[in-house]
Amino acid sequence: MNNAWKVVTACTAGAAALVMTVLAACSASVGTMRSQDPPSAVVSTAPSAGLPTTRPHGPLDPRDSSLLPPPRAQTDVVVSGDYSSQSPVGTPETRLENQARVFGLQGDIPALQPQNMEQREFVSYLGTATEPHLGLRFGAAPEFDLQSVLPRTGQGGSGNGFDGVSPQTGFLGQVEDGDGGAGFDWDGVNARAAQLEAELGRLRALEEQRLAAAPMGIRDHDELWVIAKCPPPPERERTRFPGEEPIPGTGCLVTTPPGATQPVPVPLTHTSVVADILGYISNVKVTQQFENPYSGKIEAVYVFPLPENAAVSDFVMTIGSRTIRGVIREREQAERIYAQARAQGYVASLLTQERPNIFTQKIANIEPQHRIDVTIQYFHTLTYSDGAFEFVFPMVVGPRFNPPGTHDGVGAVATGQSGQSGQKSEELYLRPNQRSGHDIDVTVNIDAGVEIERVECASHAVSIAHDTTRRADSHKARVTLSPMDSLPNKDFVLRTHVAGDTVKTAVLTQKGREGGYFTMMIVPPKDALSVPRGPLEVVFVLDASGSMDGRPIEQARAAIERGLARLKHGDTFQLINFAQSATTLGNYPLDATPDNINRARSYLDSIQAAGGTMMMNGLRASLDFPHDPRRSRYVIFVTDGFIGNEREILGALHEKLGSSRIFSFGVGSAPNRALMDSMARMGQGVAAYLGGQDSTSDVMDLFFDRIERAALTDIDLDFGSARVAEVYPSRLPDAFVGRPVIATGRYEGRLPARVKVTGRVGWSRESFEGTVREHDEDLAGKAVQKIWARAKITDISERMAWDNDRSLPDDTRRVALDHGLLSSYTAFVAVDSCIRTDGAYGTTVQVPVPVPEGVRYETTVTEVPRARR
Amino acid sequence: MMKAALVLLSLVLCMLGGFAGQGQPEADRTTLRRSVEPSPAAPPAPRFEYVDVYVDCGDKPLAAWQVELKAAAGKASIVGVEGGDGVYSQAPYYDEQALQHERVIVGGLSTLAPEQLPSGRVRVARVHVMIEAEAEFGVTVMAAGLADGTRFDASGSIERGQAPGANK
Repeated sequence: MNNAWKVVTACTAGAAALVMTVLAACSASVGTMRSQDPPSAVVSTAPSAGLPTTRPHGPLDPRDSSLLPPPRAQTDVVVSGDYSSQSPVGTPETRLENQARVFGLQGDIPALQPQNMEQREFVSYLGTATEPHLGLRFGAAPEFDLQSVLPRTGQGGSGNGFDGVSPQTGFLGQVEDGDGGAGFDWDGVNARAAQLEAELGRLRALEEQRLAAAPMGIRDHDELWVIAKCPPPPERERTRFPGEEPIPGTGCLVTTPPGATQPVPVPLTHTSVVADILGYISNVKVTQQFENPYSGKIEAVYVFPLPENAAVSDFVMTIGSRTIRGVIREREQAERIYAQARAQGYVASLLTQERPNIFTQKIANIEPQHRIDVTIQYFHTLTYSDGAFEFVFPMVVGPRFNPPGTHDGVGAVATGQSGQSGQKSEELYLRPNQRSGHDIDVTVNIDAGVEIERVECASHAVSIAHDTTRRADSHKARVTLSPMDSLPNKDFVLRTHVAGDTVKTAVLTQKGREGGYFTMMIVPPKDALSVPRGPLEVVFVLDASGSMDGRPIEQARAAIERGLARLKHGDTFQLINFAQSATTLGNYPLDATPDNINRARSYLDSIQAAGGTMMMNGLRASLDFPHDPRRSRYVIFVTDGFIGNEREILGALHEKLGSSRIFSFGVGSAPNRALMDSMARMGQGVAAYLGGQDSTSDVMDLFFDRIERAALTDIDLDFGSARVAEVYPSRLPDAFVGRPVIATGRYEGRLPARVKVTGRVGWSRESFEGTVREHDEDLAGKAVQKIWARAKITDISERMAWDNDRSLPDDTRRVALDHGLLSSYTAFVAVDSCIRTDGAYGTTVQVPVPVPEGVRYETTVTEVPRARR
Repeated sequence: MMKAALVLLSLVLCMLGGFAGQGQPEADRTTLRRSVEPSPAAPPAPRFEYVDVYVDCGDKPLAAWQVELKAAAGKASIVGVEGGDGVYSQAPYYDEQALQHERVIVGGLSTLAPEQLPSGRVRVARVHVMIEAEAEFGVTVMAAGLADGTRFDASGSIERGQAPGANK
């Protein structure tokens, strides 16, 4: 059969090419297109490799029927080929249906049946042709490799075999099986191949003669497009975007899988988030509910965010009433286990980390109408700033820009265009008028440990239960997300304001197998930081790429304008904007005079957001000029951070940083917090976030209030006789007024009751103490070890951006496995070996997500034109 | 003269041998070569099984338990840990460091009243495994306890099973 397949394929390609030419000539609607022309909607059945080898020079006379066999009333059409899994969206049936529309068929296209999933082949009966000009319209470069489209007569016949070329229908010939039913006789095809080739040779010779007699001027490599006569099939759904084709998994408004008449939701139906916060430590459980709404088995894939410092330590798959705890493995091993289970029909799930804040969930062999839940648990530390603990739960991955040459980035493509970004990871985005059936609920139980003044959520509508009638409850609150705001398209940001000076330096500990672990919040007393700051050299770096278009760029401009107003006499400043390239306000930092500030404002107003995010250009422009030794240089990045080459940026930052301090302002509803935090950590500054509902002036004022006074730098920790090691971040950041530092480390020996913190403030050294809480059995006590391990992994990961030490990946792997944590080099896998589902693993369906609120789809998501697909 | 004849004879024999070798059909030589090279056989696909772990606590109510499941030979990878029956139906936690050596140390406890706790032979966990080379499993009860914290001796046992239609 395989040999027959090859023969038919080879013959078909050549013959179909020839037929195209003839068909072009015969058709009343013939067009030629240069290869650079925009694509037409209709193309012949011939694959591009099979375009004519002879030079077509002119149209044939359609009245000359010497080449044509007698017309037939009806022809059954069979499509054969193989499909690849490079872009695994949709069933094979729907992928063909969606990417190649057949014209001239009687009725609609029936569902196609794959013949051999393992071999990725299909041979399917399409329907009955009634029009003389039959063709396939490709909505995209086919994800399958179409081998042939063959007609066979539906009326009689004299046994198996070809009976010649049928240019009128656009196909090379036919295979008869007498009854017109299903089934190819491939051996018969093979036996007749030589006969067919001889016939083709005769036809080619005839064609050459005719073409030579009537030159048309078509050049080599021209594409020949054949226009079908019959109208396209009626739209079964709403009006689509150009280039858009319906596929399973594009949301309940648009998807109509084969055999279904009503739209259905995506496989991820719901996400439930429950967070328990104690002080600045949070334990979060995220349950993702997957359900297969289709008629065949699927593999669901979901790319989603979590906080960049999330220590993911538990993974449970729930099937009905059964719960299976996943195991942590080296990533390659986990992927291999998952692949085996998937191939053998077992329900299995795999959780991997693509970036510190981007993860992929895969679930294989979900049977139709079945539901599988996956629960992920993690610990993380909250930030504390200006009197409030901030809890953030990211809900969507923002669309990343990947500079040319980047292949391990995170692609951002439209639904139905899976695999088009060329990146290692990919997020599929819903179009602006599409709505995922996926929603989310969030519950946060807060125990601040000190009296709560107020709880606020600027990002979402929430209900807050805060019982202040009993003193014991004054430090507790319960927050739930409003069902009216359950669309997961922006970060959930919750701030718990606590009473004035109630937050003090304190150490939490946990005893482990090999010594103890601690985490501490270093809160310098205000009076220790009373020294006024010296003159500054402030460099504002504005991301003006396409993803910032709209509200984000407005907010960013307003923030910088506010920052300009807060500059003082003696300060200097520079203003840099970047997109594809970087532009500076001046060739050198300008004095903060009223004239220069007005000039900067005018310049700022002229900046428009467009183009790619070549952050490297902005980074170089901001750090590649001589540092004025009389001033502290503060570089302020204002960006959404939607890039896929984070490691490259961090590497360059480390190389060029010098004595500059980096402050990153994340703009928008779902900024890339992992990048923002890493940049600030590396630059010993802090990150701040300007959400869609935040006041730009408030955020920038808080920042300038913070830097009005000198920071606590060069921090040392004194734990008495206890031996302390592996403190992370390995380079402790500066502590500012209202913005403490969180550090975590290991220790051996007995900890003192109080730990001493010493640092430099201006030209003097200051000291203060913090209390130690030893071996707590509560939430904090259980989390410290995991938090330490995650901090170490983060530290190694950031170091890998600039250090080529080959042992670093192994270090990461070892730490992650020893502590049962997810990382770039480890993964969770769970297999249910009790039930084996029938058949192969089915179709892979990636869950599409909305672009973050305020982000414009048109400027951030790749819609690949048809000609390039 | 005799010596020269012997040398010549040897040379002729060598040449004949060489010719004989050259004259051997290609297919035969290939066959010969193949016969001394081990044929690369594709390794069998791993198969999936589960191992039910039991704790036999006699007539005592089982309030807490900890067992170690170990693959004594072959090559097996633990791919999931599921709960057992009744009060122990939730997936137990496992020791991450032991798991890296394909040892499964799992444990569970219940805070129910003694009369609500199971006794006899209790299925406490089901461990899912991927087997690449036939493995022997064994279980050791590391600890069993009553509701008041008293430890007692208990024995452990396992039962292996697989899904209908699974690879053998």
